[in-house]
Amino acid sequence: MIFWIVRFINLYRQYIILALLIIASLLLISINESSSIKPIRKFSLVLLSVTKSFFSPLDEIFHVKSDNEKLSRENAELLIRNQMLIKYKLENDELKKLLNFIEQNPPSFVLSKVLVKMYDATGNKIVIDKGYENGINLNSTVLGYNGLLGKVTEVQKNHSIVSLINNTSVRISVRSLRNNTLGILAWDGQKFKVYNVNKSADVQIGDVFLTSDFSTIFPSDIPVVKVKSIALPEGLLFFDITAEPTVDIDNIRYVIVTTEEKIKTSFIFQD
Amino acid sequence: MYKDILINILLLFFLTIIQVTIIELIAINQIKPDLVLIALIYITLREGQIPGIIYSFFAGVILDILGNGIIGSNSFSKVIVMFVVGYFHDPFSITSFRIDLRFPLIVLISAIVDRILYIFITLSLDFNELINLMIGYGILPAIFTAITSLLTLIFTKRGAIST
Repeated sequence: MIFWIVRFINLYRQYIILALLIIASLLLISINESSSIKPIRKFSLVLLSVTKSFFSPLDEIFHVKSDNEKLSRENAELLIRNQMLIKYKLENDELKKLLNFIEQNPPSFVLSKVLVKMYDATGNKIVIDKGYENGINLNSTVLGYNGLLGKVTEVQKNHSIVSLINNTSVRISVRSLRNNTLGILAWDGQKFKVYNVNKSADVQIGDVFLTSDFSTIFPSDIPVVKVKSIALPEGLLFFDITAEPTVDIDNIRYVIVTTEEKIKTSFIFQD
Repeated sequence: MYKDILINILLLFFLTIIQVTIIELIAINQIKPDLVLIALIYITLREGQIPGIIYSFFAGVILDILGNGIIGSNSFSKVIVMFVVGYFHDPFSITSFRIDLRFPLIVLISAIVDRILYIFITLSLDFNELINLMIGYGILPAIFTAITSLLTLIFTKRGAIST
């Protein structure tokens, strides 16, 4: 019997070894997910990482060009995406503020998008996407989320032209929010000035000026400017006050237009 | 003899390291040459079927461990391939083994079969179920089939089947 087995093994040893090795391979495959394999896997990862770190300079040589091209492409894409996100954020912030304004005021306002901006040394204008079909009238007051922007000077069915307050021909009667000091606001072509504020008046940097009851073209109590600098020229009776608009006029994208002549607004300053 | 074995082991280990490091770097869309397979074919053609499949098993296991693959998958495919390659071994040319034009052809066919077997064994396998499948539907039916085949000895003329 033993002789027969030995002879059998000797004759068919290649098949027996093959069968044993295949069974061993399949056994190894079947225990791949068992916990006993984990130390081997850990060891192989360590060994591989050490070996790969040894060859890493070669990796850089082989892949540096393609990596560079890929990174440049990704960088360009990210830059474009970043620009888009910045634009969307600014637009979102502005819309949120306008939405807050509309929620806090009676429903006599129309939200409108700025289509065209026309800047000129004497009179800046914008074209908005709402007209008389939306309830907008000639001389309707136009507001930003933080204050006065201008008035409607031309109305069409679906468009209107707005003359902004930074216009050399516009004079607005204003009063200080803090102590009701009166003055006349005007645009000198480069900056806003508050004229006719007496030297004895109490004016400080940061004071907000609103439209006063004496204003004939705008409703009262709308914030217009904030005092930026105060000078006291010799020999003159009045302060030289420079101010900046409460609304960032250069960056407006949306505006609010009043649809009623008499409005009462409540502004919340959001710097 | 031991010197040859040691040289073969060192060669295979070295090539396995190269396979999982440098060859990965020159791969084009994951297409890369299998240096270990070439070396195994060379060893099998030079030294025969049995050394070939034994080297294949261990080289496959090391390749799977270092390559972080499924341990046993490369040894499975390479053992079967080297078993077939072993039939091309000429026992009379051990001392004067030379690579001729047959070699790349054998490598091509072996590589195709090797990859097919590898894909077959690694694709969509539940490893916990494999052992049950292997015993229930693989080894036991195979043993049963082999035992059944012994009946052919009874039903055929003595001497018709020779060893």
